[in-house]
Amino acid sequence: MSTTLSTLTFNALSCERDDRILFKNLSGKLEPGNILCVSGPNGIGKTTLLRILADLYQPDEGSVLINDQKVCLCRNQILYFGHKTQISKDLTIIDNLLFLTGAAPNILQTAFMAVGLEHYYDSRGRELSQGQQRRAALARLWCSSAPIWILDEPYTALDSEMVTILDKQISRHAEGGGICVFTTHSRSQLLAHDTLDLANVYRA
Amino acid sequence: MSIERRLIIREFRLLIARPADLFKPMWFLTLVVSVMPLALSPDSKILADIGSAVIWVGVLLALLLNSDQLFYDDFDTGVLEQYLFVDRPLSWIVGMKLISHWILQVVPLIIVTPLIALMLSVDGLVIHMLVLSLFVATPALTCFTGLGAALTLGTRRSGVLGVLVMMPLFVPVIILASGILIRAKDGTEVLPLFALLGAFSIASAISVPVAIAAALRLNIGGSN
Repeated sequence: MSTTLSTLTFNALSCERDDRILFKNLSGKLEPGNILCVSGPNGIGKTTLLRILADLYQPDEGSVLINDQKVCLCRNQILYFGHKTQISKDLTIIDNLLFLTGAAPNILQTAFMAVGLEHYYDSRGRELSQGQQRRAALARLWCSSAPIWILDEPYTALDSEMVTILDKQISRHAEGGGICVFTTHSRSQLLAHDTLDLANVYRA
Repeated sequence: MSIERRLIIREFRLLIARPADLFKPMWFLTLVVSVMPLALSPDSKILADIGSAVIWVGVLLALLLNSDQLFYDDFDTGVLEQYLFVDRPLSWIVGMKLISHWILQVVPLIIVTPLIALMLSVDGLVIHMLVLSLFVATPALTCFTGLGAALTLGTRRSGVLGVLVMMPLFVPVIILASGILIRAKDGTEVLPLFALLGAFSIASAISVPVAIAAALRLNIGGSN
């Protein structure tokens, strides 16, 4: 569903947390159609890197640019999916998604169909299982026109069927000229992508 | 659908899903006011004298009751960081949230105050002034409670700390409002005090959302 083509560049990113250097001088460029998988053991700085790319966290040095512009000027080009599901437990999932995406009802319907929640429109967040809540939150990916997807652990709590569906959606997004950066611990997904292993980057 | 409309619809739906948020402050206000005659004196003259002030303080405390909830839900579910990815400034979103909070939770509370004031046999003109002063003052109070909530967002069960942060900001509002109530009882001019109170509300409605947005950003930047 991407309408615009964007590039995401990060230059010489350095980040230190609690006197520990997470990464130093990390650079890269993502062109339309690129998928980047950020991997590495727990606590290596995957989430921090993603939050820096989404401009939710300030790096100690370096910059992140979207089409040569600062991220804070074009945040609406980013779809950020964090650890927290964004699903309010007191609202029905259709209300949740309506709020998060602002999409038309028929688009939401297709999205719910895609993630296999077509019988749960009126269920409240608290009535769904953890995996179903993640599915509901991921339905955003079917409603978004943002060219850059930054997904933090999108595969958490998903069954193998949903993993395949999500893989397909990410590939489709990339084929349409979108960019996707995600973190994961499992190996099976999306064979055709670049991997940035934070365990092997320069650390001085 | 615009983000503003979505926000207000969401706040409305959340309130319907959790009616306690609406009724708890009202219940609290009624409780505070109804124990007052037991503790003081059932003499209707004394009650009429202090009634409006008691109600004003009661409303103030009732507002503090839910204040730490204002951004906590958004923070907890991760919706807060999503506010950064819409093409509106965060302070604008905060403003919209404060407005919907005021309309959905504060205004209903103000609407029940005349009934409670009648319980204390407060004079008719004073009731008018009481309600009017609450309408003019609560936008400022809502902003300040929002600021306290935003500053203490990262800390768990932050109620007391938030109140401590907010209290000094409340003081000028209380002084002006009590001035209005005293003058209304004496039958002297109240307009200048209303003008000051209104100016205070407008100034805080313009400036405080910016401060709240900055405080929220600190919380987002620091959390995973």
